[in-house]
Amino acid sequence: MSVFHDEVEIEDFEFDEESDTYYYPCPCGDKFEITKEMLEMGEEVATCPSCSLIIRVIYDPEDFDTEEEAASISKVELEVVSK
Amino acid sequence: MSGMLCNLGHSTKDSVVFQKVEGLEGETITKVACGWEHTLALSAGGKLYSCGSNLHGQLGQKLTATRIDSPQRVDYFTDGNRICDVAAGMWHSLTLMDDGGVYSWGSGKHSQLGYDVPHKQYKMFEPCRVELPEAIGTVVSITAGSHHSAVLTDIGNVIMWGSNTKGQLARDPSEVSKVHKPLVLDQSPFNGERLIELKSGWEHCLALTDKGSLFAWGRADYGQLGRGVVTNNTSRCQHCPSEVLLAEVVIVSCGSMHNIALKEEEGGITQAYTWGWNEHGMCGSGTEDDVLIPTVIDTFKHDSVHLIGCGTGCCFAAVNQNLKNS
Repeated sequence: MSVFHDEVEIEDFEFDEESDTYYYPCPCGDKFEITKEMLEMGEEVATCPSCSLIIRVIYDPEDFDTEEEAASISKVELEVVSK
Repeated sequence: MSGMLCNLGHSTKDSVVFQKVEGLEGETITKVACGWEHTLALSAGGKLYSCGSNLHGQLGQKLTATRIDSPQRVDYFTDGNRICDVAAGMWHSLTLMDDGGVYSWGSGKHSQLGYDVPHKQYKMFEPCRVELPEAIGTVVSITAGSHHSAVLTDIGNVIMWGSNTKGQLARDPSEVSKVHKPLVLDQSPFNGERLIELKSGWEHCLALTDKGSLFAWGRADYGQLGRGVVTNNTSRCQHCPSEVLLAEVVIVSCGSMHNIALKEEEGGITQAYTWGWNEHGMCGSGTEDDVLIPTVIDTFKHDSVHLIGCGTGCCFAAVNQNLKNS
């Protein structure tokens, strides 16, 4: 993998709900992109469809960890049930 | 206007052909500045119009929508001093008033507005005057990088603020990643020559002197500083201003990571030189290799170039054909 062009925080990306994808401007005029699904899988490389540049996405994996989210929900449910 | 999204002022879709922008009838537009997804247009009478994305407040208008498709006047500037110049960063905007005052608005997340932004997401929806240091001269030009701003005064002072992650503010990024309040650039690297023009790429700056010397600082990993080398240190920048390998420069223009400049040659003709990132051929060199030293565009070798411009992945030149041979 080539060198990252930059490292960008996820909060600087723009989220498009229709495509479930995060976008950030690329110096070529296109946009770096990474899907929410990829972030959930732990992927951190956003790519540009028009050029070779890639950037590293800075994010907290816990914010995108669906398994943990599911686990915490069931834990709450268990607590509710046990009361 | 052609291009993408709603920043064109006529549609929410991409347009691949030139179309007239509706909503500016009766106005003579003298200057246009484009951010990532917004456009500013200045009229001969000093009226400012904006359209496109307002997600970060970059239109300078309090709107309920996050974007507008037709240019609307920025009401803030209805009275008082006249606007004489506009500039746009990725998500922020700047204006220069005829009294030398500078206003900014849009995203202040990287301190690119030059003042405190109370909004929790650092958005400023209305223009606000930037407090500049005293005794710096009168501001004569403004320029914006992706997340930084820079102004030049009549006595050659450069004042900058915003992101410094790539040394674009001429400070060591390992010591300071952003500069919150306008900062005056040390003049010592310029050999006593007075700066007369200042331009900014996304993360680098170019400054032209009254002797035609060109200086550059900031991001340096694609040859954008024109020194014949690329910098691959951790920060991939050279924050100390130093000379670009090109003399007798008369005009410069910065793209995102490449540049074009006009050099006065013998006989009074001007030739276009380019350097920097070239993956899409925007340096016009005939290849896609990055251009590390300012290199003349062969295509115009027998012509005189009089006007130049740069975009994110492109360059423009207006040429007087065959003038050299006539």
